[in-house]
Amino acid sequence: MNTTPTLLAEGLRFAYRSARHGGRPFRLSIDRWQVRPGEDVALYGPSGCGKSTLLALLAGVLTPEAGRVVVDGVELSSLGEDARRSLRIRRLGFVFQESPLVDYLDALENVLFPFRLNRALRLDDAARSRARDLLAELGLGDKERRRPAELSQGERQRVAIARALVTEPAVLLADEPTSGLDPESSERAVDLLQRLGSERGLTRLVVTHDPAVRRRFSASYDVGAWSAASGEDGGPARGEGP
Amino acid sequence: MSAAGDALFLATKSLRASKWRSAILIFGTAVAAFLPLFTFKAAALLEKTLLARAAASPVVIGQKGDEFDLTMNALYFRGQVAESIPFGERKGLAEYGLALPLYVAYSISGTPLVGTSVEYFDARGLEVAEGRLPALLGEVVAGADVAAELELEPGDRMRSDLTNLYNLAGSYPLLLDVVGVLRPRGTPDDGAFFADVKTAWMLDGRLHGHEEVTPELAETAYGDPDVDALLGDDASGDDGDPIGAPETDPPDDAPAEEAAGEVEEDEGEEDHIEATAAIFLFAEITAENRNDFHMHGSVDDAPVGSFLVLPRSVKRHDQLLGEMALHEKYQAVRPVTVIETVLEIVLRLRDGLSAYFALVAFSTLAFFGLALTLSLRLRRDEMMLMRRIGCGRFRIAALIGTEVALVVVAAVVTAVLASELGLWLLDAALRG
Repeated sequence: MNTTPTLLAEGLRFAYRSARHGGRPFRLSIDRWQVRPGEDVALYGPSGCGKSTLLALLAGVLTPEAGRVVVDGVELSSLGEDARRSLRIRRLGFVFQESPLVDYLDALENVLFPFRLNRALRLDDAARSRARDLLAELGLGDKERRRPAELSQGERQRVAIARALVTEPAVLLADEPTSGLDPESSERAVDLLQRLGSERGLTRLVVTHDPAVRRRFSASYDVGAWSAASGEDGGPARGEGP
Repeated sequence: MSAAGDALFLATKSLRASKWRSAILIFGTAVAAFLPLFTFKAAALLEKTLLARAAASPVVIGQKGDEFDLTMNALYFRGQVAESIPFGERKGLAEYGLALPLYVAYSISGTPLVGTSVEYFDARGLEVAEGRLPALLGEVVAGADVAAELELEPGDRMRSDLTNLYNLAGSYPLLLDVVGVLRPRGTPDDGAFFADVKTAWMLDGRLHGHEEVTPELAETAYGDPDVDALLGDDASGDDGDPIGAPETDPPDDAPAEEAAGEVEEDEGEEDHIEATAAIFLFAEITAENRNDFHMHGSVDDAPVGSFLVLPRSVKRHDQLLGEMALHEKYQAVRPVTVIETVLEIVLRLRDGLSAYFALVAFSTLAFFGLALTLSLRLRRDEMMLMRRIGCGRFRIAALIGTEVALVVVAAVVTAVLASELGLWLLDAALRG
């Protein structure tokens, strides 16, 4: 069994201002936290506690003030900006809140969107075929030429999931993937994330404030325990996972 | 697909998705580009075309008056000259060079008919594409544009336009034979009909043909049995004496039928017969009646609008200008000078417009910048998504830049096409 963590945060320190708290300064502090390959993890906590910020730090979108982040065996701080972007686009798949899609592209083009943004990915027939298969698997095979405006919120979220998976990443990061969905669609989206992730052996990290969603994951961590208003020290992680 | 190809793909998709926004941006930018582009090119075309024609027309001689009117009439066949000049002046002008008569008083289907001499075609480098040059009375040759517009070819017949409905004494529309079509020259000559100046005089009524006036005709045509009361002793009207337009008005107390068909005896001359306007004038020239056409009065007295003089030498040119400067009735106009004066006004106007164009360009740029800023703000989520997925700032800038470039290229192409279309129309207007 591979014991090298897919995600590792060590001695991580990052100050940020929470928009949810009127721009009040907060500090995120994680002494050591890791996610093993294939593990499915939920991050939860109150609004503004830094869940999305942590996700951005793990993805290399934000750079920590101190500490290190290791993704799939590669320490992000050792990489330049371009290499971090290449790693991100090749090894990480993202699903965001409110399933943002590019409104002028149809469903299939949205799934293939990452290929048009970075030369680390190659848009070839195999990629196109993979995108079509994913859409078919997500029940959107007959809607691949529809624009986002012509899709329901649940369908848009499924397109976003297909976009996150089409690059064959090692880690799937989802930030409030059920936000804006009705309970039925929410349930279906989580089912899909778990099933597709599990079939592909992906490490899954999902940010959620929904207890029902949290319970679907084998481990969950309260990010609120790692963050505190500026001036206070972040306490130890209080996870519910293993 | 290359990075540029991907950028082009996304930019095209984005622009097509917001058709109206894109169209307004392209249109606004195109207008800002079109205005100076067209104005400067139009001014250059105007300068080139007008000066080229003027340079090929060294001196125009006409009655004293407006130099501009004389130039426009002689070079571009536009408008009328206030007073004509006798054809007989040609002999005097021939001392200085080739003097080409230009009589632009009539039209065919709204197109000017230029009465001139056969030397005009050589002087202007005009050649026939089909048929031949006019050689006989009533024959015309059509300029290339006119022939194309009216779908004319040799053998067609055209009726001259009626110039004055109420002038019963002359200017009757006549059927004219199109005997040739000229090759296009890109000059005003393409937009005119040409005939011998005598054909133009024929339209004046100055040179005409009519049925022979005899006692028998008077009786059959006018139904007046009292021939003696109508005719003199000698009823021959074909002896070179003037026949045609009434030389005296009918007396006020003349009977109605007499006024309509009067053949009046001239009291001073026993052999003289005068016919009134009621006599049947030929409305066309045929092989049978061509020899019946005749001129009343001296050819030297017949009018032309102007003479285009091509001096034999610079010395003759200067002598002609000197001679005309002292002339009481006539003037020598150098078209180049007239056109340069006109162009000076056009160029001054163009320079004045530059400031206006700069203002339009600035406001368009501001409008463009505002639209771009608003568009980027609306697409903030899209930019954020790109950044999170793994797209660099430069790549995002390149994608936006490609969209802007597409709009600018489309606007410039539109402006250039519109400008070329405008110039083509202007060119056609200048020639026609």
